[in-house]
This record gives sequence, C-alpha cells and structure tokens, in this order.
Amino acid sequence: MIDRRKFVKSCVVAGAGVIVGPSLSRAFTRTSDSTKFELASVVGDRYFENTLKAVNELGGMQKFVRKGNTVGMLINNTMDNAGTFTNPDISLAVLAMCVDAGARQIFMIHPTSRRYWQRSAFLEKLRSEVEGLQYSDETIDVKIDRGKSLKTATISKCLMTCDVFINIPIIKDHKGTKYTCTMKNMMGGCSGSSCQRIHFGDSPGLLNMFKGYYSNVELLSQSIADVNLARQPDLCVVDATVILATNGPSGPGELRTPREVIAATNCVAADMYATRHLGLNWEDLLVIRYAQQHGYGPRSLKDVQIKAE
Amino acid sequence: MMHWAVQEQGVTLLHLLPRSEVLGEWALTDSARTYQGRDLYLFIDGGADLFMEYGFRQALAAEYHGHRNEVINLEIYEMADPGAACGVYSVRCGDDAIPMDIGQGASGHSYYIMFWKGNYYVSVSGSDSTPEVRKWLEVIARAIDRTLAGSEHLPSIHRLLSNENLLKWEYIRGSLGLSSVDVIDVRGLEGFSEGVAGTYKDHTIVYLRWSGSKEAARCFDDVGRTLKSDARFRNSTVRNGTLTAVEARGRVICLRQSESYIVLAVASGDSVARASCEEAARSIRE
Repeated sequence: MIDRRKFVKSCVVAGAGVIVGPSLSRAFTRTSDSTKFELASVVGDRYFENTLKAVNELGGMQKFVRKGNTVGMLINNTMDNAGTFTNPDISLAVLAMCVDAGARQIFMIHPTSRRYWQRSAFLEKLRSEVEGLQYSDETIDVKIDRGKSLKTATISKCLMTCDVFINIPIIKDHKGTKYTCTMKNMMGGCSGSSCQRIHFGDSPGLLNMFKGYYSNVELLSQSIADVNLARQPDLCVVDATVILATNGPSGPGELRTPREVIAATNCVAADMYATRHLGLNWEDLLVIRYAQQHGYGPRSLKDVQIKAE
Repeated sequence: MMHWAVQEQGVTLLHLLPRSEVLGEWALTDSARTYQGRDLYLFIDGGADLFMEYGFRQALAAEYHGHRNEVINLEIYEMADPGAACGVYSVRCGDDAIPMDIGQGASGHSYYIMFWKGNYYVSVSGSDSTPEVRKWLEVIARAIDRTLAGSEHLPSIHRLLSNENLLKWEYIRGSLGLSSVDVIDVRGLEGFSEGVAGTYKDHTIVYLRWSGSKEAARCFDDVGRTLKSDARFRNSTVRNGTLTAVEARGRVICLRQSESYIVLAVASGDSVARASCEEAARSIRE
C-alpha cells in the first residue's frame, strides 16, 4: 500500500514533463514593481498532478499552511452537470497537500455530498483524508465597514476563523454576473439570508420575489465585491479544465476545455486571468471593477507575476 | 417579473421517471429529488431565475450510474404552461444544436439532449460523450417523451417571424430571456409581457409586446433617452419614428414602436437594420 505522501510525490514526478521549468517560467513571467500578486497556471489532462504543480509554482502548500494550522476549503460542488462543479481531482489534490503540510483540522466550508467525491478516481487513495474532513454549519455575523452595499453578512464561522482559507471554484458562465469564479464562490460561505441581501440589498422580501435574483446586477456585483472584504482567500485554486460556457451556472450547455489549473494568491487576480476562457474581458465585469475599487486586487494583469506554460 | 404557478397537492413528477426495464444496466443513484416553487433555488441557485421568469411549477432531478461509473443526470421541469416550457427550451438549446425528433422541439449535443413537450422542459446530460452514454441519453429522453402529453400550438407571437431563412428563434417572457439574445444589450426595455427573437443570416429581429400601446410608447421614449446617454452606443438619432444607434461592436440597432409592440432590428449595416425594422413593424399592422 502506497501512503499519501509517497503518492503525492510520485504524482509530481510522474507529471514532471509538464512542470513549468525555471527557464520556461521566466519566459512567460510578467514581472512588475509589485510582486504582491502571484499566479501559476498548468495546462494538461492530469488535473490532480497539475494542481500539485500549480501550487508548487507558488512555493508549495507549506508556504500557505503551517504545521498545526486549521484550513477551510470552499469548493464549488453543488451542481451535477459537466462543467458546473470543481473537478474533485483538483479538490483532492489540495486536500492531500494540506494534510502533507501538517494541517491540524481541515473544514469544508460548504457541505459536500458523497456523490461529489465519488466522481474522482483518486478517492480510493485519499479516502481516509476525505473521511477526516470536518463540516460545521455554525455562522457568525461579520461587520463589513468598507462595504458599499453590504455592511454586514452572516458567514461560516470556519471560513472566518480558520488559519488558512483556500477558495477552490470553477470558472463558468453565469446568467447574472456573466461569470462566476473565486469572488462569487464566496457566497457559498454565506448564510441564505446573506445571499438574499447580496442579491437584493435591504429592499423588502416580498417585492424581491417578483423582481428576480438578477433584477439588479450592479447591486449584486457590488455586494460580491463587498463580501470579499470580510475575508480574502490565502490561496485560490481555480478549475479551468472543463467549463460551462453557456446556460450557466447550472447547465447543461456548451463546454470548453482549456484543461488549465490556476493557483493564485489573490482572488481578483485569479478572476481577471480566468475569465478569458469565457471570451470575456475582465474590464467589462462589474464584480472585478468593484473589487479593484476596494483596492484588494491588481489594477491590471501586468501587476500579477504569472507563471504559465 | 417572476411567476409561480399553484401546485396541485400531492402530484409529483416521480411517475415520469423511466421504468427500470428500459434502463439496461443503468441504476438510479439514491432517490430522485423534487423541488417545488422557490425550492428550485436549492437545486440550481443562480440558475432558477430563468425558470421563474417563464413560470415554474416543480422539478425533478435524478442521477443514473452506468456499470463503468458513468453518470447521467436527468432533470424534468414542469412549467406553468406550454409557452413557458417552449421558452426555456428556446433560450437554452444553443447555437450548435442538432435537431431531434423528440417531444415538440429537441436538440442533441455532444453530451446532452434537451427537449420540451406540453408543459415540460427536460434535460438529460451525461458525464462524458462516449457513444455508450449518448445512446442511453436518447433512450431515457425517448422514454420520458412517451409519457408526456403535448400541446397543440407554439406561442402565437411566433407567427410574427418570417420563416424564410430563419436560423433560430427564441420565445421571451422577461429580461433574462431577452439577455439570452446576445445581440441585444439595450437598457430600459422593461415591462413587456412577451416577445420573440428571430436570427437570420444578416440580421436579428426582436418583437416585444406590452399590455397596450401607451405602455409600449412610454418604454420607447425611455429607451430613446437611455440610448443617448449610454456610452456604449453612438450616433443615436430618430428619423421617421425609427430610433437608430450604433453599438460598441459597430452593428446598427433600429427600434420602432408599432401599436403595443416595440420592434428591434440589429444588423451590421444601416440599410439592412432599417429595412428589417420597418418591414417588421408593418407586419404587426397587417
């Protein structure tokens, strides 16, 4: 029986052909005065291995998770159609890295069904790690002083209190905000009533029922930018392998296959980079523009140190 | 505007599930899930609004596993009326659809089939697009088709579209449906009760209907003002009752009010857009 540590190591070695080497990395690295924002991208069909490589390109999981840390993982895992949920190979790779880095407790911020993990061929090898995952539905009320439309939110206590918060979304089409990725995934860590307020603000509930969830996309976009002020991820791992390009977010619809795993240190940078796969310009996306106005993301991709094949 | 239909007590969609004898080695995973009214948000939070806009009653979701761990997801939506089912299908079926003889409108794609029939919109999607999965997508879709009753007519507004060279059409009941017509991003087009969009080789036509001519006129005036102040449009002018502007991608958009309708035409050239718009407005009066 091969143990997890050896298994993860062997995966990296097995996929060494697609690891971005130092010279290639430099060739595709755009540096600027700011080294605050880092992003690594690996393209290929071995999503588990490529997730390990992308995080290694940022310095490895031990850069983010220290021995004894608690980790909160926020995975987009609620839907069933192809291209609508984060590939579980990617989530399992992140989980394996966190365990290897010495995480004391790993929490799922959003409940995860057995069906979700069963979609991965890696489940058998990592079954005990999956069984060790914890979930709590405890929430806390968070004041968002700098929020423009959202001043308070009820958010998962795990998300707010864990030592390391890892956001693991899929980039895909979305009927309201045009795309969903890291920043919108944060709604998965919010209570139902907060999600309603993110959509509608403080206007009366009955009226909202008839207006629809996307009756005010500007408010929705601003609120998403606001809620990300509560806590930003320490690490983002974005699934851009097989993604839904139409009929989002639930599908089924047109699938695109960029086969890319993206790791980033900043949620805005991750979204700015990933939206290209939907044929969108990030300049046109309100969620990104409002996040930039809050000042927690790069103003341009030139401000991001990108390591890509 | 969103619509909920009152659900008859105790009537679920479970009886529509294909019987096990037609499913070969495919087995239902867990039990099928059902969602009524606002519960749809629990199933497709973020995707439910479109169904609500058209008029939603209830949905059923089931998952089948094949012997090689392939998965087929089945979703059956009971809508408020045939127009709602037809409308949802029309905006979701996509551009690359291959027509199929299932239900009253069906399209096959690499990994899914969707169709509508009567009050129902159905999607069957696979975890991959292997021939085995595709074969069973069709088996399941046809089995459900056999259990559903059809309706006689398409939404009557559909008749306004000329069938000549029509590539695709979409039936609209609100802003989300309208936003699916990718050529249109005009702000202020609100309050209409229904519409239909037709895509032709060199232009797109959209008819939107209000409850009366006064309401349509009010919206037409609002859109005129909005277009003038919207930085995404330029050269906004009104000539002989036709409002014309050029959008960011360089295409020309023409709008005209005719009775309780507003007609929009979009084309790459001014003359095609204007002629299409005026002809469409004439067709309403006739």
